[in-house]
Amino acid sequence: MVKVSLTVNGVKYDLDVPPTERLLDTLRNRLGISSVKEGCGRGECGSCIVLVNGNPVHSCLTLTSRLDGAEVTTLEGLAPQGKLHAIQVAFIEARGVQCGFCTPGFIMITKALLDRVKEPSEKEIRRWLSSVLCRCGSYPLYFEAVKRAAKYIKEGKIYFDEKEVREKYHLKVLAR
Amino acid sequence: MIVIETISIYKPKSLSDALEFLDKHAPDVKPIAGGTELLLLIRDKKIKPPKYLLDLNPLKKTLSYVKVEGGVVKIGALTSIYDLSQTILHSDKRYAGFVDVWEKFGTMALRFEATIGGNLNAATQYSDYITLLLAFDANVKLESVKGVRELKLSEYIVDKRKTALNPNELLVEVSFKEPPAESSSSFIKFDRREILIAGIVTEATYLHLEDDVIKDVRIAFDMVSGKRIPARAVKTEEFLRGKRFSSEVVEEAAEKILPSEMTRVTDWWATAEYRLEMSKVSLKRGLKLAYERIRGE
Amino acid sequence: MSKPDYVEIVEEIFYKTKEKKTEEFKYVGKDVVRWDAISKISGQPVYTADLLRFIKNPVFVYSVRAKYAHARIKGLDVSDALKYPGVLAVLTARDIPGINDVGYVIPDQPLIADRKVRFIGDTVALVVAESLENAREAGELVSVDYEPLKVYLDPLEIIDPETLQEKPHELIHDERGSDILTRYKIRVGDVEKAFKEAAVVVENKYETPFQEHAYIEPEAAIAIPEADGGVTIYAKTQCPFDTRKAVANVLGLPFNMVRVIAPALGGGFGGAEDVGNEIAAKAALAAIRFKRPAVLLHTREESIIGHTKRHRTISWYRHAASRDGTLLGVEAKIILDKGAYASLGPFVAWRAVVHSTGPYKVRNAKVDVVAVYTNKIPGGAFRGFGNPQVTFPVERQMDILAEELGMDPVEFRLKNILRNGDRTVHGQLLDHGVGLEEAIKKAVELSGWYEKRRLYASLKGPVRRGIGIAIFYHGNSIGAEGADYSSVSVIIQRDGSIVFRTGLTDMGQGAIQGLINILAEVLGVPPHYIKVELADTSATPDAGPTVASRSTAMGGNATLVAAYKLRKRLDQLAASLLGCKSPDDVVIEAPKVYCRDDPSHTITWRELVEQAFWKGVPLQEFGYYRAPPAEWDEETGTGAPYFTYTYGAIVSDVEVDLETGLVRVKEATTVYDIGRVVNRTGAELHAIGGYIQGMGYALMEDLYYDSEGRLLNTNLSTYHIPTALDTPEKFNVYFVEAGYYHAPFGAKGLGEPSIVAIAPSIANAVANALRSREANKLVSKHPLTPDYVYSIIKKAGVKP
Repeated sequence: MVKVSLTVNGVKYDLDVPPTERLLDTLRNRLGISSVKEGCGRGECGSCIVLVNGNPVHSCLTLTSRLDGAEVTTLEGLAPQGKLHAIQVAFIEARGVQCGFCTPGFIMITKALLDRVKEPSEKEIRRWLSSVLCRCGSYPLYFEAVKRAAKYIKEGKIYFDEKEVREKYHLKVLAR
Repeated sequence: MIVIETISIYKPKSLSDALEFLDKHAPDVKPIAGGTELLLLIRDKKIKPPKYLLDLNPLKKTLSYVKVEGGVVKIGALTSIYDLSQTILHSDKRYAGFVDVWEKFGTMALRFEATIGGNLNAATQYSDYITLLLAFDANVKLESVKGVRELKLSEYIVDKRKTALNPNELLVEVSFKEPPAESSSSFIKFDRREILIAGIVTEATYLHLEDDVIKDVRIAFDMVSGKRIPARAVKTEEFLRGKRFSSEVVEEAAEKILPSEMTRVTDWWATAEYRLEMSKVSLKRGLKLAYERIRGE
Repeated sequence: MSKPDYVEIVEEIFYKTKEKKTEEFKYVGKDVVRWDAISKISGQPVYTADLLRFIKNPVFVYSVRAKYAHARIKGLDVSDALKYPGVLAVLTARDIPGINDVGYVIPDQPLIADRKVRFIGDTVALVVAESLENAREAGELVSVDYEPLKVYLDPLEIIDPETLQEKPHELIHDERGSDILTRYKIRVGDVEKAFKEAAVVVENKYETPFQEHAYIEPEAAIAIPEADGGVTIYAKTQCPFDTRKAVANVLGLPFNMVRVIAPALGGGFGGAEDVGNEIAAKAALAAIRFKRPAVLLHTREESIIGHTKRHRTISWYRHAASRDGTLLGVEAKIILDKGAYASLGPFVAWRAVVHSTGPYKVRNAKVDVVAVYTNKIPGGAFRGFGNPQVTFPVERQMDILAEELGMDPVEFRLKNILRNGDRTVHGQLLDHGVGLEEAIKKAVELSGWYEKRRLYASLKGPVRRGIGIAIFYHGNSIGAEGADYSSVSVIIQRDGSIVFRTGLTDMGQGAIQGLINILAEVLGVPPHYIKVELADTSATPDAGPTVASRSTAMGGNATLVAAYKLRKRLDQLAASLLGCKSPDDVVIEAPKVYCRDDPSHTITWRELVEQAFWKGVPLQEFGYYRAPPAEWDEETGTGAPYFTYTYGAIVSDVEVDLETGLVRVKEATTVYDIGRVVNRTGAELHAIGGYIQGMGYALMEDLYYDSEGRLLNTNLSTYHIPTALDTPEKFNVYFVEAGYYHAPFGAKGLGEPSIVAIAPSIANAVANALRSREANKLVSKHPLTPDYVYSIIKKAGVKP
């Protein structure tokens, strides 16, 4: 077993993990973080993408034992308690959500993109989003979501009150 | 739960510590960089699980760099594919082939994980940086407690999944001569879809012009003949060297010379005939692209 | 005989709102944010595998799979596996208390193979262990003594394509005495005469590939033993009631002792039909045996070899037309590569035969469809269900015919399509909205068809452009496959909030949103009053399977009926409370309720509900709808196979690289007649998402086997599906609304139709780009991989 001190979504954990335990399993099975999905276990589908020290990685190809001192961010940690991140709101507004299994991966890769490029071009959006596979075929709506999110962030609107978002959007008619 | 754990992980304090550990435990130890290839090989039972994994993350600070020193371009083996994209290799037209490889390299997340050293050590037909770096006539630097040795990349890649790396050695750097101003490079890869592909064929070109005369040229493919590993198309290079660059010359190189040195393989993905045809097309396109880049078109 | 009340209700609402524009509805046809959108962007929905964190002390179940594609099992030795640490048991066919069968339509598929194995993927034993790793490792130690038999990978080794007779061979299903699973036919008119009189005859062989669903969530099942000897199962299944039946059979338990709940599903596309039954049964077997929760999780590789695919087909089509471009007759032979087990194959084959002549006026037809077993992963249900496989050859034939006749493909189609008042090839009178002509015209307009046809014909250089059209029709719901019913329950709570229950599942497709919109529209409450419960065999009414594009029409009707009845009762009560002239004058715009002529005098929705409670007006309603039985004559292939059809026209605009054969779609236009748009967001997502999945089918997706029957592409880097970078630059989406009187506000289904004509539209565009009569005929199969397209370019001598 390997001792690892890890910060996940701002909370510090001291863990004892087998050397070959995947970050995916640590997050899902030890910490109960279930937005991180296993779709292939081989770095192909992108559903398990999380940020490690700000970089997008496949948690299925990352060994927890190598992450001593690292900061991990998952979808659950994108916004403070009671808030939603602009990217999440943009994903609601862009109407692209279908089965939702890949959605956390898309949101995390979008975060990694917008952390680096404030106003990504269509080509850059497609390149970054090609990290995650969506079989429902929501891609064009997700491109739209990234553009909306970039706009919110540019305007300084980074966090939204979760309750207000629910009021405004849950089963509400969206204006075109 | 009963866990059967056979692998231990070692985190070295320094490069010399890592080399000592390697020396002591070889061959029961596997260095792990990005892990994107190694972990799958273990998972798929394609290799025997090693007793130890040597975690190379602690050496990132030492072995992640791109620098040009004394006319040599040096890339630290632990430089991630993403980090490569933030360097001169992605902004100077001479290295444009690096941008081409990047465009087709796995997912964005993989680019943060995978390292250049890992890509070379995977030693497969699909290790695109091998193909590219063969066109740059690169060398690899291998280090062990005994010292350092340098090898031509072409000698380093011995066969499919086989390199000249000794079990107690670490690949620490890949380097190549800084190309002259009138040169550029390109990399061609395509498949049924745009990304997450092996490529029907892949081709890398390095071209150096003087006026319009081909002063030097190096061409590499994902395979040329015999072994399923990247290799140079030397006869084609020889044919081109010293000739004035023209579409006729390129045509002749692709249609006449290349087939004389290339044998392709049929597998479930594509036929040998098609791959050979596509090798010709890639050669033409690669040369043309490099030419246009030199000419600033 | 008078009509059942539910039919009268559906008709009444249809005719009352027939002329109403969709924009004028409050919720129907609007972009209502999905009921689960906010939880999904937060990563909160619980998919089956996510439940693991709530499960204590589980056992893990791993399927040991056959190493041979066709072999007799002579013996099985599990002793080494049993010695492996953490292993509790290795279950074999002998350990099944009930019936060892999970065949969907016919009982041909053991849950655990006992006598023989028929494909590499057949389960031969189940290892039950303390951890998944233990179970997997121990699985390698199960030793099976096989007697290998001849492996059949090509259906043409089993059936003679000329005579369609079975050839002598070593039977895969010796217990059935034949490897022909099923045959269907159409015999209409006088085909011989039609071909004799034809000015033009076009004839070709076509092939369509297997397709893997590649839903991103791999299968998972968790079974929890209950104190009463029963079992509760959470599983990735799109048809929990079918899953319950399968599990009950395997366990030998009555249905009411097996409870199946479908949690959030990460995609289904038809693939989560029978595999759901298998995984649920395997987990349940272990849970019952060890009285502990049992968990089964598939890796991607297990998913790909362990669940059914879209059937591959080989077909031969002959079409006859007169000089003026009138279709005279069709002759076709279609062979379905069935793989090892029937799964839903008999139904797929039937849907294929029904749609085998396309949405055209055909008076003379001779069609045979045969499903033939092979030693491959079974074909089963996949979005489109046999229709894409016949629409591809039909729509290719139409383009070839048009070229032979010197007609534009659009003009040729318009001359022959089905319109209102026409009869289908089966003799069915189309007595209601047929929006096909309008769909074609709209698609032509939106895609810039005529300008592009002209422009692309003049392009020079190695990169060509092409534009192609394909049209189709698709019968809604299950037709003659079985009893076609649906049900929901609506329970208004004391505080005015509403619980909505139905056995229809959401696998991501979002059809439930359409039901919410219908319920909200009829009751007069905003959609956010409504909470949807998970499909649960013990808590939601059986609504039939969630398949066949039936949720919107069938589930919608049941919802409409329940909502209507509730609304009637509440209107009556409100009228008396408010003093309205008649219950029909009551306006419910929750939270406000008032009489039409006095909007200032209101009570609240909550007050109305409270009064209903005290006055004994029931606040619960059950909605049921049953479609009229379909008619089908087995000998002639005539009757009324489906109660209604969705129509559509697709235009694809592609780029073809003549030097490499590489095809990329640049722009897609999809126009569907779905009767009425009830859920606009969902409809558009299908128009786009269905296209992208269809584009994968057209350009990149196929399964590859080695000579021993081992699948070679078992992961997502070797099984290519489209990525964000492959997405066309532009989509034009439009809906025609030619309503159907036996559907909620006239709405028809779109789930399956949205993939049916994508591949032929792309193939037709590729053929157009090649600008060669010879090449046009050579485009006869897909996927249109670069090497295949390149071979056509070379053979036809197409020059840049």
